[in-house]
Amino acid sequence: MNIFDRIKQLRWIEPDASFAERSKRDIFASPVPVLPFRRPTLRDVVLRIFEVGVATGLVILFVFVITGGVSNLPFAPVPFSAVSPKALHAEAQAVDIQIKLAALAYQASATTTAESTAATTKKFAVIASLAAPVASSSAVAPSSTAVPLPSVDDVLKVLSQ
Amino acid sequence: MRLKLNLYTEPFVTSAVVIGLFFGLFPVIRAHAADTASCSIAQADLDAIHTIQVDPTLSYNTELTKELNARKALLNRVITCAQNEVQSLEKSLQAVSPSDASVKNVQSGLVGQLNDAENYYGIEQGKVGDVGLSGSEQVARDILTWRSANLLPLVARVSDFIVWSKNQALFNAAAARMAQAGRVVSFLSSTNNADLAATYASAQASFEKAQDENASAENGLAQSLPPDQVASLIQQSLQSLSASYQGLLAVGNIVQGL
Repeated sequence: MNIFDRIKQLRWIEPDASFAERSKRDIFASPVPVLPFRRPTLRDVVLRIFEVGVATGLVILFVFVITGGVSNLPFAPVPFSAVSPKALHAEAQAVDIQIKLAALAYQASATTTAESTAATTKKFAVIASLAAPVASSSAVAPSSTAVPLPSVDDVLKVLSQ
Repeated sequence: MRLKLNLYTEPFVTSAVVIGLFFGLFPVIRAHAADTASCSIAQADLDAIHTIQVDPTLSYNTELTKELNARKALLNRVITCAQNEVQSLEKSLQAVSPSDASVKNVQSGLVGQLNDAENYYGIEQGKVGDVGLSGSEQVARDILTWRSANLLPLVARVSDFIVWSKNQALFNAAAARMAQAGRVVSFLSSTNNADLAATYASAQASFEKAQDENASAENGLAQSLPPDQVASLIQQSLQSLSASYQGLLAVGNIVQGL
């Protein structure tokens, strides 16, 4: 029998019945110490309040650290992630997209006074569509045909002749 | 003590905002499709007038009556379409929720002018019922001229306002980013990296320029400056904002190399 089998056999070791009975009696017979009631002193009260205060403060601080709420405080960790090129690139891209939209608006509005009425609807369409996709100058319903449908100004031009 | 969740520190949050904005526009686009669906004028409607004019089977009086009726019907329809244009633009304008009282005043002024435009169309539409052939042509000419002289500049002003309003979220994000980058640079000041300090100062200068131009654009909107002038200021402010991000990216690269 190797050592491992012997060790496994240790799981079945039990005290004999008389030893167990004696031990139980000894435990029951031992005296139970009765602590006398002591009125808490001022020192005890102050210490307890201090303990509770420190515990509560630590919990609140922990919650703030988790939620990022200490970012404006002097002891807040330095936000190195704020200058991560990946995060900055995403925001820079959003600015570039807005620049393109604003450029379209500029082109459309810069020529408003110089051109004839014939181009009014076209400009309206450019400005309105970039201002918000809801506003478009087309006077017509979406169609599956490839033929461009007349705009408000196209129709007015025909009707004015 | 103030709880503050910073939405600009993580690229994930930025992406989520962009995607959210994109999908947020879908109901508006669909609403627009519903608007235009009620307003349909095809080339065939315009050709119908010419067909009446060249129809040899019609007597002179019948031709005049038929042409007048066709012109009036088409004029009514195109005015309705033009009103839809204004209503759509008004919806876009009112979808903007400015927090600043002076910006709200600008918005209210523009909404009022769009309402005036709608009223103008209503008045012109009221004339259509009583006019003759040359009168209907005159109404069409008047509207065409009015659109070019009055409506188009108004649409450009509304466009400037909406673009400017949308820019404010970008400016707020950039302000938060500049402040955070400032703390990083200040923390690393002990490294005595002159390049880092100079690059951040340059980014900060670009951002301050962008803020000045943004404020000028706001004043331009409030003072009803020519729309192309305001659009130019808006464009400049965005260019400066972009330059400040280029500076911040350079700061980020320097910090990574430390």
